[in-house]
Amino acid sequence: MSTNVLSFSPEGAETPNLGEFIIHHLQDSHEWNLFGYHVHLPTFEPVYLFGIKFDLSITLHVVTMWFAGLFLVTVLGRLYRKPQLVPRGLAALVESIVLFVRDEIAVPNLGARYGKVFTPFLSTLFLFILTLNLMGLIPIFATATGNISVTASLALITFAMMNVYGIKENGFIGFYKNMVPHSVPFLMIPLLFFIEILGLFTKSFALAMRLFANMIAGHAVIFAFLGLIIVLGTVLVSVFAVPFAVFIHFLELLVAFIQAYIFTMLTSLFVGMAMHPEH
Amino acid sequence: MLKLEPGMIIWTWITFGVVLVLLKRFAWQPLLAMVEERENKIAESLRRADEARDQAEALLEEQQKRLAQAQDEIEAMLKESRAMAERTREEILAKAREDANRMLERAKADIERERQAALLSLKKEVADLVVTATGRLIGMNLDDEKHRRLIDEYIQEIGKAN
Repeated sequence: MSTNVLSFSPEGAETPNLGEFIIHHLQDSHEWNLFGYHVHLPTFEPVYLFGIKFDLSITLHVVTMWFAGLFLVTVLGRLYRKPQLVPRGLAALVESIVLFVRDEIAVPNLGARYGKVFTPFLSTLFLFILTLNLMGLIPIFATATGNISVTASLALITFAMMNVYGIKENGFIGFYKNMVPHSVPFLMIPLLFFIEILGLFTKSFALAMRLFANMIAGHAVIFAFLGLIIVLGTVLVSVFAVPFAVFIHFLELLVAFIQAYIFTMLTSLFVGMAMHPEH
Repeated sequence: MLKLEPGMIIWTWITFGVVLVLLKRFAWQPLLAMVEERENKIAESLRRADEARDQAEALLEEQQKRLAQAQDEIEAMLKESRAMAERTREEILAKAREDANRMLERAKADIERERQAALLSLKKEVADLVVTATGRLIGMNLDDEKHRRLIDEYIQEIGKAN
């Protein structure tokens, strides 16, 4: 990405490097490009707590998340202000999603009792990630789930839940003791224990990376296709580049649903595994 | 790009937490309550339908039993009445036969009695006639008493021959 690809371009002197442009676009920013108007979002002085620097500035991704949350709360709140016994339209769709989360994701992994307890959390997680993924496909918003900090914080919730509910179900000692299968030779126990503890972290890490990478990749590919027009310096490329970009965009639509599903599914699976260890 | 921003993490937690709390209060609770209500209602309806079916089946069975019972009763009654009719017929016939026989007997007896009576009077008549005739034939020389005895004997013989 260090090569200035636009050096091949006829009037390339002023245009920025394409690779940098793509990276820049995928990153969080302090201004919001609203149809060409650059809205400057408020920045705050970083707060230092326990030696960690917390920059609580309102970035574009924060705004995107707020819009997603606002959208979900207003739409769903309005929908259920007057609950109907037999839902129609959007209510039927939302209900089928929630029932899918309850019957296909929560209950099989967490059991009947905890499955019902976790359904609101998992439904919110699914719809929140899905809305953020889909908003990433709308040009005026940014892809918040393409920010590793966002996905990491969601994965950290999963990590916390794995430990909290694992300990709650099995007891503090029981939870960590049950990580090692009982039939293992004595000498292997420390090694396996280490691996299993590491597994707690890698599960969460993979969760964060998977969502982040999937969201970034599609956007990068779209920009790369469209960037070909600039790199090769001819409009004729758009005959191939634009259809491919549109195709990738549709693929992204699919990926948005799949990744939201996978994140929710794995969260419930990991928490379920922590709660009911194999013996 | 892979650098974790603590501020961003905090914002995500806050946003997600607020969304979770609000959605839980304003969407999931009403939705899940409604779903549960509907599930209960469906289960209740199914249970009621089962009950109604069981009842209907029991009723049908009972009706069929009753119908069969009624059929049996009808058959028994028919059989009984048929037997009774047969018996009555036999009785009537027997009685008629007996009556006829009795009447025949009586008629025969009457006839016999009449015949005896007629025979008796005929004998008497014949005897008188014979007495008169022979009296005329033989004339006065005939001892009335003696001849009458003779003729009577004779008539007796005739009567026996008859």
